[in-house]
Amino acid sequence: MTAGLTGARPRGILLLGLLALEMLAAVLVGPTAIAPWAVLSALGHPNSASVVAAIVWQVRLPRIVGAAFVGAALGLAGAILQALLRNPLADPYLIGTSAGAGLGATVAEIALPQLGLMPLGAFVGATLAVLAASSASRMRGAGSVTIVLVGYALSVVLGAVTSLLLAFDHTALLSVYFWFLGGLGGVTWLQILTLGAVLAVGLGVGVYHRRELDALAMGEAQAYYLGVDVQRTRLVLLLLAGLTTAVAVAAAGLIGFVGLVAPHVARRLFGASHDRSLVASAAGGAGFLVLADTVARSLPFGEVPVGIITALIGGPFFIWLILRSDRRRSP
Amino acid sequence: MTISACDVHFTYGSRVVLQEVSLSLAGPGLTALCGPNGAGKSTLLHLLAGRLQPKAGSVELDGRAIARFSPSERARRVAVVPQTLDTTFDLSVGDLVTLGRLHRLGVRDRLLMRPLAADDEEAVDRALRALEIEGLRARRVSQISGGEQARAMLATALAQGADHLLLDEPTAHLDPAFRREILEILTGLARSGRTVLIVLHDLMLAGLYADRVALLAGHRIVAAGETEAVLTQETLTEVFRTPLSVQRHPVSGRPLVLPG
Repeated sequence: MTAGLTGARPRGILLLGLLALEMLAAVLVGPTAIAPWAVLSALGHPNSASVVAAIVWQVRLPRIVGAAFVGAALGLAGAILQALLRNPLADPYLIGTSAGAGLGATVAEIALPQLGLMPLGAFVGATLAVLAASSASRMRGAGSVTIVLVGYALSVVLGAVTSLLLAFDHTALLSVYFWFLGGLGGVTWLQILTLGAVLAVGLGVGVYHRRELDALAMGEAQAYYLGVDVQRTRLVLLLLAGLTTAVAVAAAGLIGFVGLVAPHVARRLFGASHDRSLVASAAGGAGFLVLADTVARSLPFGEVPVGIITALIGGPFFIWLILRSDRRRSP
Repeated sequence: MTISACDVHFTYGSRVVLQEVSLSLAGPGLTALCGPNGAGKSTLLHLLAGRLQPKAGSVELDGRAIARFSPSERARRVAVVPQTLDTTFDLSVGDLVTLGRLHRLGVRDRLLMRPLAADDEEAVDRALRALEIEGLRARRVSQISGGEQARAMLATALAQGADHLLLDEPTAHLDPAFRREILEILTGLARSGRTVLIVLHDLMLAGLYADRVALLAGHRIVAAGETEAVLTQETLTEVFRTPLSVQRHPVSGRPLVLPG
């Protein structure tokens, strides 16, 4: 329809093609040296009893698909939060949503161990944290940097409370810590199914509301006049951001900056309207995290948590965004 | 085609903003809402558009409480143009104006990510043409001038298809040439059958362009009616507490408000 779309469809296909190629390349990489042709042939035989098939199907693929899904969930959450908070600096990790998920999971594990309520706890924690950040963003006169600072402080406080709780309960410490630092190495096919289901719902609800995101980014008053049911839509989208963040944290621990970087790249490539940039944010998040995870597990001195790689890339980008937003404010 | 406020009372906390305000916008025409700073002009606009609820009294659109309209029904009837454009993200003019059709998007169009339906596309085209900005469609809002931004916001409101247009100081940030342009566009819209309400600081513009004027001061409507009847030296001097004189415009013969 609008002018950008003629170029947006081929670009979208190109982006998805690149993502597929990137994932394919990622399967070829790993600590066990396997010839590329052997990997490719194992891809065609998921039920083969060979060691190569086991490595490809039980170790590498779940990790790569998991990285793609977690990255997509974080990219989607980041895009939604940036629009709702009217803040291009928002990211589920930076504004405390991820830390809320971590605390919620910890509380669930300590209060009701053995019930497997950590993902539910993560969802409740993430949702409460996202509601807190969103009410801070609605205060008069709070600039985007202020809101991110408040969100970051929230994140630090929630993290401190989590550590405090864990210091009292060593049994929980083991399971929660394993889970937090889990990275993408421990992702199972069952988790991938959950992630995929939540991601599908998230993309569906997000795509349904993509123009509302444009309207809400103009402020609540203008969104109201454009015919948006502001209260309901905000709540649905905040819950969605909480949910996608929670499943990402539940599967892979605290990973920062994916939700910050992906929407920026998506808007740069597809235009600012969420009509096209929302899905691209999810795809971009997937691509970013698959890449970061492949780097994280291919370093010559051994594997590092993937969050280190995303922070090394996203951190400087974040600083650059802050400096740029300051310059824009003072003419 | 009537929006009317009847005995509206409004407070922010304990601060009284409007008291016993009644105002009716009936039929086509351009009404200017004027008054000193802090008189509650913007508040009255938001009440008339249904976003704020009166503490007492009622606001009705065609005889039905405006709060009872669904968001999309309301957007189909009433459009509001903000003072400044702040999209957070750098939308293209086309994407901005497309938001005017948001209230019409169906479930399937939304989920299948289909392009706009033909009639929506047509409404966006018509709005862009009406404001002579069809050439700016692919431009981003940060790359166009303040006057062009005002046109783009107005085009978004037109794309909504509403017969009531409410504008909050749309000319405040524009230089005189753009002010005149926007007011001439609004007069044209009023002629073509729309009910237009514009919050206006500039009494000179109100005198030159408005069909009707409502003066808001001291929380109340102190005068409302035909422009010539409202914009008199005595009323204005009293309301604005500064000497103002009303002359005749040498060409159009309309009231010309000048510092007296």
